[in-house]
Amino acid sequence: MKQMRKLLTIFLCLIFLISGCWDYVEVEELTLVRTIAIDYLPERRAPYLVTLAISLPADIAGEKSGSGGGSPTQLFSAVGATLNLAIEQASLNLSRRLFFSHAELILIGEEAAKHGLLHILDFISNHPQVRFNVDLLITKGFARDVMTTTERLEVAITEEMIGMIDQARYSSESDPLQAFEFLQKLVTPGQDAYTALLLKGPPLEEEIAKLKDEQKPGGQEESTEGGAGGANGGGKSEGGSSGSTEDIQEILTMAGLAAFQNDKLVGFLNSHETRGLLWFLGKTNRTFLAIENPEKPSETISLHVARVQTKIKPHLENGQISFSVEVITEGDIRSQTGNTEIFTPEMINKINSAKAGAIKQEMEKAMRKMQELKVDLVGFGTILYRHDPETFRLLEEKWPEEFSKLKVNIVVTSEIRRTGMQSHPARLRR
Amino acid sequence: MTSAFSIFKKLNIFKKKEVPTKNRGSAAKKAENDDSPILSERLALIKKRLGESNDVVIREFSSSNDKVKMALLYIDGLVDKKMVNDNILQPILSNTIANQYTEKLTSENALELLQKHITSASELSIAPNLTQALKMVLSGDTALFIDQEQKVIICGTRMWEKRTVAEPETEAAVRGPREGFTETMRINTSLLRRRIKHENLRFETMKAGRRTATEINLVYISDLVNQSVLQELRRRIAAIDTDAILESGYIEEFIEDVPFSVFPQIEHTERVDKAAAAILEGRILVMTDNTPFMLIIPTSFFQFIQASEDYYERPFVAFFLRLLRLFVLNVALILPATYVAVISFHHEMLPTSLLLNIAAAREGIPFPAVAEALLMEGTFEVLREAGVRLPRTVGQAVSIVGGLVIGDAAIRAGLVSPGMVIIVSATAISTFAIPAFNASIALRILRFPLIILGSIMGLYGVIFGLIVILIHLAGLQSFGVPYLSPLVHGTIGDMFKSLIRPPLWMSRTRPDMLKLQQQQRQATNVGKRHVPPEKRELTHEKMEENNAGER
Repeated sequence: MKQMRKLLTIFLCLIFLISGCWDYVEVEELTLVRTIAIDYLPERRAPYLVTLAISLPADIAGEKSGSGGGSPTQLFSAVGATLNLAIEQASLNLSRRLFFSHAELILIGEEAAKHGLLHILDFISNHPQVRFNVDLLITKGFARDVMTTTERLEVAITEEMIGMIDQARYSSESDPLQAFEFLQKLVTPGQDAYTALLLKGPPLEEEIAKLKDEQKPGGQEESTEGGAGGANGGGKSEGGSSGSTEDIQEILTMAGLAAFQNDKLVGFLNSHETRGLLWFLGKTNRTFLAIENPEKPSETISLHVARVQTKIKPHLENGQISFSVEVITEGDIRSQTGNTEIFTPEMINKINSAKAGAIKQEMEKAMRKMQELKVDLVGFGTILYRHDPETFRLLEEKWPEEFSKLKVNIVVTSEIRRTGMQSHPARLRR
Repeated sequence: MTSAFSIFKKLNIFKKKEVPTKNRGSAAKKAENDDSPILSERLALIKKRLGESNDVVIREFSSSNDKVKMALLYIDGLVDKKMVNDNILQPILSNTIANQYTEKLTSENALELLQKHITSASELSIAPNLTQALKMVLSGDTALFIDQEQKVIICGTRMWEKRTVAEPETEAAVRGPREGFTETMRINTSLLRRRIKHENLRFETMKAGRRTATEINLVYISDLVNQSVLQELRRRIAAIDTDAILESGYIEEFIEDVPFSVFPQIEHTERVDKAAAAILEGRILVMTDNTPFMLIIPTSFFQFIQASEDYYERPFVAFFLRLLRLFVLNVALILPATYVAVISFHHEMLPTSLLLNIAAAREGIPFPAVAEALLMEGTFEVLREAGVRLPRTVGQAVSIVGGLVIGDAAIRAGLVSPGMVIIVSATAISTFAIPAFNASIALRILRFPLIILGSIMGLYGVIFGLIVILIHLAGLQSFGVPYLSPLVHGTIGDMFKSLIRPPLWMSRTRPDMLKLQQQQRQATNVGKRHVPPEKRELTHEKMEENNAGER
């Protein structure tokens, strides 16, 4: 007993020695890194360009904005042979200790993504502070350019991007993944990884001004595309705006996906193809579909999709692999451009089949794109593996080629549950 | 290391030592030997023993037939003089026809006649010798000495200035009786008797304190109480050998199980209803003369988060309040320590915006978070202590100054951050929400080591400290009942009862941990409570039917 006491006392005293205040840091001595933007500069000795977006505490930011109107985010950049070296380089410019636990976003430039994400993913998973659930976004062009965009609604550009990611989860134009989800997709055999794409371009207002100048009725094209119009506007203008006026304040758009083969970027899916892919994955939520009125093709009906269920089954016949995809959707009618009485059971049946057709068209479009890029973003290979491991093992080596020739049979069933708040279309006085 | 142990060894000097009682005993014997039945010698001896105190009154007189010499001895201020006059002096001295016995008084039959026929005091007893008589006199009785008689007649004439029964100040309740104990034992026993009118309610008298001779009453219900606890309590109180018992706290310290613990192991109360409830639950109440605070034995930790009001309000209210108190208990103990730990080590645990706000608020504060916390907690403790001791009028001034200093000036001067002020004030309010003052002050003391641990080792340190506290708590016992019972070593029903106050008609048994003679408190009322509609006598329909019939 006495021996025990002695030992216990020694241990108690040791506790103060072995775990001391060595990692004690006051909050105000930290700088919170909110976004890490990673670019790759090929053919240089220090190819990694890291840009850290650092949030300033509200007080200091307040003082600054009171006098000069600066943003509460400061950017620090540095280059290095690896990310860690680059960050160390960047910290030479800093008066405070870098703290990565509050980084919520990692932006990867197009060039870096093409070079390969292996080093970046290793950095994320190995760093003691960087969390595994940071959002991973790919930017077209330099990631650093995105960081210099002026924020519009939030206090800092990071908050703006995080908000956009949250918003993207309520629509079906892109599908931002967190680092661990990306890595999961990457390591699963028979599956290729993707993540959301962040675009920077002039806002639609600039386009409108241009259209007004041209005085052409081309604007109609834009409006018929419904919800996707705004996003597409941003995307399309990417090429055209590069040479135009410089004082245009460019804005960020989250639309489309970046597709990876292994860890290398191979291509982009636009927002339509993205939705096509999401139908396969059953991940579409709350999206709008525009279909032609089955009675009067000149009129458009917009439909809301609320629920999607997708079942994918592999079929093996005579050594030939094919997949059957069954999509079940539910949703409501939201609006129409005319005033046809569309709320009759017969009409609803017709609308249902039109909707199913539209969805199938989108899915086929996405499938063609994926087969063209030879990236199996849906994970047909994984499904085959789970169903018939032997067959997949034989095909594993040449799966991208197999995938590009894959036959997929898509069956869409659609149910319209509600017709919105009205049971009749708006009546015009006759 | 060895020096640290030698300190522990030295602590042994605090162990109770046998106080040499030889001299005392022989002195008393000598006094007894001097005692003689001759009145004049006796009075001289009394004067020698009591000294020239001005409140000692000796009244010498003779019976009306002048045959017997007698003397009265009492302490002025402790007796009812009117009673002494009317019931003792008057009957002996008067020579009215009505009082035929005074005529017959002789020194031989004086004791018997006085006792049986002459004095009309309702409380009368015989003391065998002077020493016994003096003890009674010093408690407020009147001694009647008779010449040539060894025995002394003692008349119960106690009466002194008493504080009236008032509302207990330390344990105010919104609902419940407003009576609290007073300093007078007799009033207190009457308060309890009025609540428990049962023949088995026992008041067992003991005395402690060599010079104060303080009366201690053990109150219990004889067919409920755990006899071994009672035996142990008797033994421990009898073993108290000290000069003075001025308050129940003295007794508490002498009889508690673990003297070196910050946690109170014996609950005290000023509320009569709470004391009565404890007695009815099978516990023992230790009443001490001259204090309104009664000890409840045995005590478990959860009693400190219970209030008597819990049983007067509806069960849901009690459940909510008990949860709240448990929460508040934890806040009072660990909130500042956790804050310091998180601020110093675990920056990743806070939401980004909160961390940014805290960082902004701490910008320019010269102290580390620990110093800030200790400074603020210390200031608060000083303010609280100052507020307790000061007269009410000055107390307000202190609270204003303190409020301004803590709340505003310290922040403006850049000494502390606003976040710390919020933490400290939340902790302060929490400590006040714990019903028992002695329990909350224990937590307050423990808060400081936890803050230091948190600042050195982060949350690891806080948890480490909490585990040490928990081990200590689990090791405590109060008269054989584990301190954490019924949470440890209890039945499942009792565990629930420590948090959830069940409806009264459902709580059938007394706490199992007390190991009482009778476990059952009441019959099963669950089934009886619900009366099926056809058996109900006063439903609306029936009343209407009856009325119709009458019409």
